[in-house]
Amino acid sequence: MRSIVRTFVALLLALALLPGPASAQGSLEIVGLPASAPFTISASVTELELTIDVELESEWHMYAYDVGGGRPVGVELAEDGAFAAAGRLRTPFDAHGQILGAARFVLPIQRVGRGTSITATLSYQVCDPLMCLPPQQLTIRGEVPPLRVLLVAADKGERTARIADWMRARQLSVDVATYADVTAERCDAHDVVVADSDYFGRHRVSTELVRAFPRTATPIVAVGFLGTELVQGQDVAMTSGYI
Amino acid sequence: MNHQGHGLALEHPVFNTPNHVRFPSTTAPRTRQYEGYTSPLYPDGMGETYELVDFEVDAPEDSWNPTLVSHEGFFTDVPGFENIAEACSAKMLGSLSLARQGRWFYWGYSIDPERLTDPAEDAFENTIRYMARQRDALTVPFVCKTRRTLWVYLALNEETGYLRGIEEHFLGSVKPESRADYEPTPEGLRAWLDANQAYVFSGKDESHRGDRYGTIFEVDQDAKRLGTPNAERASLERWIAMSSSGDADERAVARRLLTRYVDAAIAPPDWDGAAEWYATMRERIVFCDSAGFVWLEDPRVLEREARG
Repeated sequence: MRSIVRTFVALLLALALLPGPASAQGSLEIVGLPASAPFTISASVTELELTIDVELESEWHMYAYDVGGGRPVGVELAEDGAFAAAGRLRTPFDAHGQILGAARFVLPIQRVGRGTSITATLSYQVCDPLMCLPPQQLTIRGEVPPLRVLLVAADKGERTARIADWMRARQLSVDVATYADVTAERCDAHDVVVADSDYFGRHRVSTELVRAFPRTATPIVAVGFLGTELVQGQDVAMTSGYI
Repeated sequence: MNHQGHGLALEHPVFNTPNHVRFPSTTAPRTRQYEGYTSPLYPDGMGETYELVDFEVDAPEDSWNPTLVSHEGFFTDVPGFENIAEACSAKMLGSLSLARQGRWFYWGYSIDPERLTDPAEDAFENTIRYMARQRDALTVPFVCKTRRTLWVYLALNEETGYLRGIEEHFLGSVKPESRADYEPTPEGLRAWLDANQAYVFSGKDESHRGDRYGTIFEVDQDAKRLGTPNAERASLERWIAMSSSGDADERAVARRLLTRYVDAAIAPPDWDGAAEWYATMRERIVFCDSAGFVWLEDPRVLEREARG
């Protein structure tokens, strides 16, 4: 029965991931989990978030914050790594500060240096109503997938290839679209859209095409002349009609 | 503009994370178009000299880079708007080469690596990474030009003698009944602005739209009679107090003003409970010309709440 419940919870977690952020997620290795630990754990990472999923066996709990009892959950990133925390750890908890059942811990992170690997330490203590096991630490490590950039350009010529290569050298994953073929779906599937423009007079994209640029939930870096046309065309309070 | 920038907000993440960006700079004497003005990046005005940095290796050949022209207030009232760098512009202070609003970042230089300087390459990488974090940022939509547009006609006249704004554009941008006593001279515009600028508004409806000028402004006679400048919080609080007045006329005027200036998305169904509504919304709202001359829910508050 327990395995059926676990499978169901795992399925729910997997489904919850489907509509999530555009960022590519990388699975992480968990090191140091005792075989007798009354929970299962998995972790994944993007350039923006470290996500840890735990599923505690019934009657066991962790603590989200210091309630005067067990040691609360904490996540520390290696100090000399390419990533650092960019906010506080988010954990679910009940009215008593306890973490029960299937829970997701999310730590916002940001790149602070070169490199693709990440190492984190999860500190925790698990308790049941009668006792607490000794405080434990796990190591979580692996590779962080690069941010996904959609470069939208006038064409896929030399200039565009040069920009895309430069982005790849900066550890970004790049796909290329043109103003003529870009779609909302492609924009939405990336972390950032860079809407390129050559100088005025050499931009080679009509105003009509820029005004038809798809609406997307993805952040956009609007570049140069076509960028000004784009922010105006999408009614962003940014230009007030003057450039 | 050319390939350079100045007034950089060096504390901004695009100059710090992950790459610590510092541009070599050259000192230049302040030029005439910058004298006497302020901007968010030069809140006290520009000194006798300023520091210029190169984003591109040299000036674009036979072309130029466009800027977002603020003219000291075209979009500086948009909550959360980030002024990050100014450009070398023939216009006054406030012409931006780098800026962010919600999920939009404007990068006013080439991104061709053959054109970028090394520090600019680092800043551009930082910009991409910074923007990846803005997926849940809220973008304020543009509704109309700000009242500052009308002042610019005067500023341009003082700078260059330009008169067409005063003699022609002003007339096309303001409803006839709001400029009945307007004298189309620099002195006349100054007098009109002194008397009316605090009460100017516009909005989404057809009466405030025009083919040529886009935004058509109007002077709010209700607000003017009461002496309540429409962008001031004290005015909003006075209208709220008046909305429960025992005087029916006073109550009607107050409710008309509240309906006009509170974003419909956050306004209560009626203004019977105006004081209670304000007690709830007081710390959450901000006035913005660009968003339609309304008190709107501050996107920064909403973002903070959403991010926990």
